[in-house]
Amino acid sequence: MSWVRNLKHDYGDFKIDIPEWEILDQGVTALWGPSGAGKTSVFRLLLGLDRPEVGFSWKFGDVDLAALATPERRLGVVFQTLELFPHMTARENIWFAAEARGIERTRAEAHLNSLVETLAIGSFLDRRAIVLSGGERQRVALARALIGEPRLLFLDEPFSALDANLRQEARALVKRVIEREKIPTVLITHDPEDLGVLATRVTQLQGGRLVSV
Amino acid sequence: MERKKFLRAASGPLALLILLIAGITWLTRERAERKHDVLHVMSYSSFVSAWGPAPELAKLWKAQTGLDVEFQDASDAGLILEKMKLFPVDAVIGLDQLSLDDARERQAWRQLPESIASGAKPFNEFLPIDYAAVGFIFREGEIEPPKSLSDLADPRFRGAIALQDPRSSSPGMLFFFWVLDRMGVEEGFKFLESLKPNVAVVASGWSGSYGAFTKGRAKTALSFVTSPAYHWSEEKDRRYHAAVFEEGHPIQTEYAAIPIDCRSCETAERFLSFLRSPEAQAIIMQKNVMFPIDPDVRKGTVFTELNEPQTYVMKSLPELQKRRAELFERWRAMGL
Amino acid sequence: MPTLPDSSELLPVLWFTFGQAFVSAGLAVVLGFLGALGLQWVGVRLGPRSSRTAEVMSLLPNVAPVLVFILAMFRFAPSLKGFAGVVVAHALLNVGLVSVALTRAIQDKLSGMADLAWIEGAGRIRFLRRVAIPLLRGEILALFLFVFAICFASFAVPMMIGGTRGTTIETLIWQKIRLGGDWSSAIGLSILQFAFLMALAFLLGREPATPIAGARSGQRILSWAGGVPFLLAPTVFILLTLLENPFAGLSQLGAGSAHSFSELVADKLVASFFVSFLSGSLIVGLLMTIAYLDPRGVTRRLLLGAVAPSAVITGFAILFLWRETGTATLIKISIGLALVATPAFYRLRWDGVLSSLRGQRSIAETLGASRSLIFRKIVWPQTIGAACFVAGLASLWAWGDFALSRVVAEGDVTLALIVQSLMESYRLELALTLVWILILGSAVTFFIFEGAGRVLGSKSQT
Repeated sequence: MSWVRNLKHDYGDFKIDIPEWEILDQGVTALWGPSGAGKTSVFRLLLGLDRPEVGFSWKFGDVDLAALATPERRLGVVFQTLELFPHMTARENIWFAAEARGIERTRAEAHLNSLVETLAIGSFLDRRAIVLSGGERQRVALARALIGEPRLLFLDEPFSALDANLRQEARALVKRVIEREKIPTVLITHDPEDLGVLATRVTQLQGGRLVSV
Repeated sequence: MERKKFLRAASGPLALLILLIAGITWLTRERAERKHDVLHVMSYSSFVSAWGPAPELAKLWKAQTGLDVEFQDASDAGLILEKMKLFPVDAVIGLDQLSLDDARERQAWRQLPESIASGAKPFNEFLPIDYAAVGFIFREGEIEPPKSLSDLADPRFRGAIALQDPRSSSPGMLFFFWVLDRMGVEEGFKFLESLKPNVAVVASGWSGSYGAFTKGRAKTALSFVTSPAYHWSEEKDRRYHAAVFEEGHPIQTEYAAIPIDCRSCETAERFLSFLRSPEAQAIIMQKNVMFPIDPDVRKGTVFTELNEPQTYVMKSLPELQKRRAELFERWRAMGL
Repeated sequence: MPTLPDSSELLPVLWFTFGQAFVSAGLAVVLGFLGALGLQWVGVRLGPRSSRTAEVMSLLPNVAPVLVFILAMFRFAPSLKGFAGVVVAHALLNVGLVSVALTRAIQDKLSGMADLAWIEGAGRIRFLRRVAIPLLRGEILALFLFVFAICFASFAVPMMIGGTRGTTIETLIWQKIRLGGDWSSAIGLSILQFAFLMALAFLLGREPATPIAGARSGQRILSWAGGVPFLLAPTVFILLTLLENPFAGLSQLGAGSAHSFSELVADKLVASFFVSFLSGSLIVGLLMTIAYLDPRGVTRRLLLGAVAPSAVITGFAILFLWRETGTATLIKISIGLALVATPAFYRLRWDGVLSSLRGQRSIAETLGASRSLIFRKIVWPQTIGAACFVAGLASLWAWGDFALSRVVAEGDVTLALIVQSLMESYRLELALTLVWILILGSAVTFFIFEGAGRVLGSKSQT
């Protein structure tokens, strides 16, 4: 069980105010809301990319993640914009994350092999990220997020950049990977269909506040 | 917290940069100490440059005395007094009569011995080395030259005149005071106002206005009456002449002087008297395109053929100098 | 203690300085945008080699002495004087740099989109209004600041074209030091200049938008043949002025120097190469340091607003700290130029380049990468090319600089200083002949930096 408490930040035009929010140890905890509800802000605050003005706490087992700097929180992330490193190949992108976490080489290689299989990315592994298609990029971004053996996986609107027909397939793929990797996941989305396929528990965000659990 | 992190991250590269600069400094440290056997002389850029008098003067001095002289570039003549604070020198060349009061105020100078100071006026710290009247240069056949200051306002000079700004140029300042002294301050400004349609350009320095003139963008330029000598001797172009004004022309005199904190002071004195020797005077005349102090030096050169107009003495100059700030502001606001 | 002159003396000057800089910068950005469309057109129609040639040609006004450009203005637009003349001259002097920087920004940010919009049949104007300008707003404001800073500290153009009312703060600074050695007023005025730019940077310094990643290819929709004249007109004016009397310079050649001409020039040519390379390399170092630190918020705006004080003051400060002569002089000049140019080029392009990497930095940070790993693997490979390109631009400046060099040097140590000395001693034509060497040399340096950027950029990407 992981608890986020007292997450508050004033962005000027709107406020985030979350007294308490539970993130599940298993499965997918979804944060759902219309655009402008503050989902991405919550996401940035949790990742440590923005700093809230008052201290919050985020108990994850014995650790308070809120007290750690971003790199030490050990989170895996897929941004809405994916943000693959365009000058690197798909493999280099994934490998970068393993190196960043200092994962031991043979272990990382084994993990990479299993991810290549699950995500079916073998055919374009040595292509530059910049020439990959939208679906391919997304799978690489997912592999990159997972190779560092994160505590938690964060997905920010992971399917919004895909065509409607690809989306269905992508959801199934993500579901499969999460199950295989056995990793607790936070999904941020505005799309109710995502919830149906993936979410274990849904929390709704509106105007910076949690309205229903 | 953010700032602390930034500072921590910044300290590494910054330290590296400082180390790098310090390293370069150390590696390139050349005798910061001045060599004692070399005379250090500071002057303005065009005097020091390869085309100016300095290189040949140095050669002649070496031949005559066996000693070395090193010329330092102060950039603009107006910066000599500032740059010599950082690079102490044994002598300076290039102060003019308008800057002498200022020079005495900002720096102590060595009294020159009787033997060389006989020509030194008005103070015996400053030795004149060349001079020329300021005036307007024109090309024969292009315009009928102006005959007096007030003639400059004649419609035949529409868009033809290149001037210099008194705030950044010595000849510009001489012209400005010339007008105000001759006509009185109020009338002088009225006259300048009437010059507006005739002025092609007011440049910040001599090179800008004279360049506009030689490139044909102006028909007459404020310069020195000696300027035609350059075109006659170097370019073999005889079209250039200086207009002679009936009221006479003010003179710009250039001075050499020795600062009180000179190191090779006696050698500096010898150097100043060398500057007044006929051979050195000839070099200064040719390279600086100015009249030598000793008229005999001109003999056998084109300088004898130049018009030397009557001297105009500015009686109200001290008064005008005192009101400089106010007059400059009026000059700016006039929008010439 | 820094002081300021009386308000009666200061206010009209301040007003003029600000007004002309503001309007000049606005006009330069508008013309520069049109020029950028022209540069794109050259690239699309005539190929990348022509586009690089056009690029370096359009930068010519930054190398040639400003007097040449002023003489060109007197010839081609003799009636354009006063405020309007100053504004047009400043805009034309900077249109090349603005076009070149804007073209790079367009290619970084919009290329994929521009192609897409073209295929989908979007109108050019519509695309500009709806997509290009909003996405490039950050860059456009940065370019505005860049030109504003240059014009704010301009000296020769306002006076020669604007008349005596064309007095800028820079003129006042020069006057204060020259007549009376009044450093406290000069420094006070310099602080005022600085404060003005800072204020503007805080007002305008919005973050550039994040780019839309896409393949780099022909950008047809953002190319327009009609933009070419805007890009190259100032260069053509200057070339025509240089060609006015092509053989007059040669006749002034041997005459009147104590040394042989070639001996004189060869030396200075080497020195000019040295200064432009060293200052360019220092700028690469400084820019990469900034990239490593990735300033944001207040620090970023401080950098955007930073401006070196007037050349006289900077020059004297350098001399004050460091008095060695000889090779040290060239190093001093290079360090001075690098320090002066770095904030300018940060505004011109670097801020935009860094902002385009923010997303990648964020993700890398969440993936656990340290600052140095991010720098080595993400930032360096994607920015070194741009840094070298910027250094190439700065090296052009270095070739043409005589303001700072003159104060720092103890004689005519570089080619630009020789050119200036020749102008000061009746030999304008010979000076103009040497300007050709200046142009050639600077083009060589520019291409070397540009090429180095390509090689380093692609090497670190494999």
